[in-house]
Amino acid sequence: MSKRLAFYFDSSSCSGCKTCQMACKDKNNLAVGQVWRRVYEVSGGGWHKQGNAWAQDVFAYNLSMSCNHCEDPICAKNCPTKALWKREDGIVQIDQNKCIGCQYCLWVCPYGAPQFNPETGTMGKCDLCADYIDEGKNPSCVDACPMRALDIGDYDELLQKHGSSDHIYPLPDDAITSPSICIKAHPKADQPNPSVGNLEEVKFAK
Amino acid sequence: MRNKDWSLVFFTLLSQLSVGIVLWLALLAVFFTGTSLSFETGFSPINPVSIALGLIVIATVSSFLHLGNPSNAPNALNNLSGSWLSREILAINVYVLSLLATMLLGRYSANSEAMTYMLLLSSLAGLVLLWMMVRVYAIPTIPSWNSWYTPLSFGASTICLGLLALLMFQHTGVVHVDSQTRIGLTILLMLILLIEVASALFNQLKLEKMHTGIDGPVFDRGAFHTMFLLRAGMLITAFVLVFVFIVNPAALPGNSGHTWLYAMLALIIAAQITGRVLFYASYFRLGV
Repeated sequence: MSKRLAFYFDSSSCSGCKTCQMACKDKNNLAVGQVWRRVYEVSGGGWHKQGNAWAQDVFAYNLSMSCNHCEDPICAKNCPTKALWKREDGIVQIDQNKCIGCQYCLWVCPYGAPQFNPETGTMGKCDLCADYIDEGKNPSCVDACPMRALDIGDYDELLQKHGSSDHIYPLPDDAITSPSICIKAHPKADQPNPSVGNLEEVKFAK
Repeated sequence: MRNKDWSLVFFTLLSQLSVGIVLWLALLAVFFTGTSLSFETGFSPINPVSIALGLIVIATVSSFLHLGNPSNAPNALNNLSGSWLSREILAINVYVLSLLATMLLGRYSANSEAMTYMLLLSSLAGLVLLWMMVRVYAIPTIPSWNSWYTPLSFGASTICLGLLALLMFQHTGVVHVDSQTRIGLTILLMLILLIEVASALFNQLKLEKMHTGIDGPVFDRGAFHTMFLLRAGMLITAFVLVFVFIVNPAALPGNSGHTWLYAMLALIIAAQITGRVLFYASYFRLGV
């Protein structure tokens, strides 16, 4: 069995269709307001006058993000009940029978992964479709992606296969939690002044 | 700030008020022995230690209101090795036990030296609780909380609210301190108010520069900025009132000492609540 399961995300291929988001909601029967996988639409650049002409450096890319099942999960470290725990294969799960719904994990996670479920009074988040993994299947988001921009595998093998992993905007410094995600950056991901264009869709999780 | 954070506003302020009362009682018992300090002991409802115990109990009940699933609350002590939140909850229990022990001692013994030691132990337990509270907010992914301002503002609230309670206890006859001590404590209150204004200003300047993750600067405008100005105004007004009250109380219009004392009390309490609301509203996380 793999020791550190991780997602692979190809930002250069993602069209931003949000099928992964819907597949996750469907598989986990998530209520309105619960989005364990979110797609961030990043854009930037503008028009600049060069002599008598106008030139543009407009760019846009997408970033599909769920729980990254971090090597050093800040949520599990700070959870007072130990409801958040890590499986041997690296999947970070929530034990609903222990969770008190204090939402401290929501505060601390820099990826906005744990989300409060008002119906159960407890936290929920992506568990990498652990039941599917145990059956030898892929998570629902991976199989649903029409662009094949998402994949899953052992973190080290994914790094070897796809080269280095770039933690592009708007992700935080990966030294904080060592996230288990390998990203192929969009070629324009290093452009200055990027911003998230669909804040109203993704910011509620903060 | 989320609606549920109101319970945390009251939890932190009430527990800091409780610790502040015990801390000042212990300090006065150590430094002002003899006739300059006296108060009821044992299980009397006007024993300041009983009042401190009542406050920490109300604070703890208030903290339950922010839990989504309070029936699982006993699990909150599961992660003492890693979580400051677990340690904070343990510290509350230790502090409550120390207050109960102090009350029992006062009920069954008239030994004032033993009472001083017990008050010191309780205030130590209270300071440990205060430190745990500070550590809960020392989160590397939340730069607005993970700063010098959190220990300073929690510490200042503890000292300020404790002083305020002590002055009110003195005014209502729950605690008796001599007039010189009372003036000294009032001057100290003014100093704390000044420190609160200055530290809030520096913190605000720092917050206004913050733009990490997917958010731009949000603290230099809107309700947050208005509340910051309002709180600064309340603290400065309270400082001036306390100053006039000490130097020349006859200069206060209406010549009613009680009214002005209660006005100061209301102003300082309102400033403390506003300050804590601003603290929770300043939640600002790195990342997405």
